[in-house]
Amino acid sequence: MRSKWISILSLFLLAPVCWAKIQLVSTIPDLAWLAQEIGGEQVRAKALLKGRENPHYVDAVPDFIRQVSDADVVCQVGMDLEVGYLPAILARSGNAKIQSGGSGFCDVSKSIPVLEKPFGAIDRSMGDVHPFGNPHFYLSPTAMMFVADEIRNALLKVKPDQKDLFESGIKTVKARLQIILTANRDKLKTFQPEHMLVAEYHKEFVYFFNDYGFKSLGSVEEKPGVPPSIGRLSEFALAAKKAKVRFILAADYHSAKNLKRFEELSGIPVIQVPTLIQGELGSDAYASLQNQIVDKIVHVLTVVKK
Amino acid sequence: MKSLCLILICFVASQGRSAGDASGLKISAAVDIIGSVNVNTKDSARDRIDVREAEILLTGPIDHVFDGLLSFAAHSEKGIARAELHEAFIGSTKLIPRSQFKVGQYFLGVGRLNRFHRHEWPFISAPKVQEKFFGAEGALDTGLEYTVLVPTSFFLAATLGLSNGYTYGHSHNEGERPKVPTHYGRLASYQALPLGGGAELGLNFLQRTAADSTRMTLYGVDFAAKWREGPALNVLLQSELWVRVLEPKATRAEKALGFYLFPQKALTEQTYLGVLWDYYTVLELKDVTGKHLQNNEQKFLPTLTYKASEFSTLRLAYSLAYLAQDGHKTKNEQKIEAQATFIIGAHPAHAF
Repeated sequence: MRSKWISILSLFLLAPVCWAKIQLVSTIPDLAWLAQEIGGEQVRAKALLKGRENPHYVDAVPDFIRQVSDADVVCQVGMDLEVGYLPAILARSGNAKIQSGGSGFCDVSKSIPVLEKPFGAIDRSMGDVHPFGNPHFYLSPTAMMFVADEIRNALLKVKPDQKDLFESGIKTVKARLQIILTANRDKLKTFQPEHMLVAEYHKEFVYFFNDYGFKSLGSVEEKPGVPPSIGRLSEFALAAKKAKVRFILAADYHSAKNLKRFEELSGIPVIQVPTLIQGELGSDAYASLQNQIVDKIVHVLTVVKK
Repeated sequence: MKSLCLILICFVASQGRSAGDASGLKISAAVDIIGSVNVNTKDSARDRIDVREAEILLTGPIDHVFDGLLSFAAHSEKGIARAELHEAFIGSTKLIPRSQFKVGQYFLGVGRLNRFHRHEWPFISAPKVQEKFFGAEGALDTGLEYTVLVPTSFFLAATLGLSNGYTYGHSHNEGERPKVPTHYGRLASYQALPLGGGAELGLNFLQRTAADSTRMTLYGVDFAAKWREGPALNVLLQSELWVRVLEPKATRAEKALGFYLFPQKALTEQTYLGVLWDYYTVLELKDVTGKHLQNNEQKFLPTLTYKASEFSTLRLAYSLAYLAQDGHKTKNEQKIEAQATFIIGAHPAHAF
């Protein structure tokens, strides 16, 4: 009789723990979207950023501390992208498990085939160089498949009994990422991106260009994170014009003034696009982001062709 | 002491380099150079440029539970650099849920300027209220500080601290055992604002009864609002208001009030224009006949800042200072102030 009461009591006490959703907080919305797709009803994912911010420059907002203080898992892009604010937030959260190296800390860059990892000595005179390589892989559906694996591993640490659900989730999301990639490659096929030279304002489309077969002349910024001087704008405009660059991609948070000036100097269209999911994290959020970027490119190429 | 500090700095720095990333030790150095020129007086005795502060900071995890911080600073005091231990504490965010604590020597966690190193301030010199109530650089002491995040649907953090209180502010002597040690608290909250902004508000309390039985009580409000646009801090609004009550055992209490307000706007991604309004008054000041004397000290400092990156800053300010008593301006000082700061090596992530 006594053991029966203990069992019932245990059930009541443990039930909220077993049925509770995994609270996952990511820095950028794209990771939260991926986690939600993988974890389904077992996960409640949210992001610290809203998607309109420049992810290089974010303040360690006190409300972020509150959000991560209750989290079971915190996911970061890594490769020093969040170095300016995330350590300050984690250090004040009073949450042991999500600290760097803890069971709930998830650095999704761990298994990414990294591009642009600098060789040799680097220092700050070279601008805001990411010493571990280019961290903007979240714009590539291919890279997001590797990210999915990392998030699945992080979720499994919290709820190993939900392995089947997470495996099923990851299978579905990878298939969806492949569909996004194929559909957008098809849209671009007629323009033969592999024979097209393009460029970017800041080096954040490297993985995206790789996925869709574009060749890049480089970036308008001479040193990452340092606004280009008039001299640099003119120099790069001339080089881009000479190399027949078809368009420049830039994030929607970059200086419209510099981009406009570059467009005037070079006559090359500048396409400003969102680089992170903005708004609701619905199932089609990532597809919408990719479609939006590719559709803008297609539009510009179509107009130029005509 | 000076030589010992320098030897220690060199030793730890060299150890840090060889330890590399395996230990997680991060080393940085911050230098703060200031200069000023009097404009409307013939007194040019203080027209000079000085290294106000050179600080070496070491931070890193001690083990899987604790983190440590150690910093040494050389200050210019009357033109002579004086090296001293600045902060040295052990702390953890992993031991008690929703909490963090630190034990050791640190700047007391009250107000806003007091919680930031001087080279991180958005203006050159300490406002009068900071100088009078905490010391030009901030109140430094050895003790224990505990911060807990209140489980609410919005950010609410309570900080409580207890420190020796043998000395107060930035002192270079041993001090005397106080009647009641320094104890303080801060309740902070945060509110998101339209157009991507956010504001932090803090309510503060600090009290200490010195060895001579003089009780000092401080009540304060600190406020900071920011609107960021990419690398540029588009708008910054920062303010603190403090009231101090000094209650000596034999004489009557003295009350003083001070505040500053600093609005700043980005002109470009790298240049900023702000104005510091600095106000200080002794409340209930009376002359020998017992007549109430109105009095205040005010400063207006338009300040132009150039930040090539978060690691270097150049600043130029024009300071207009007035001292008024009983409706008459008794002093009018104008000077040009300049500042250059830089950070080399690792730099910890910034708090809001």
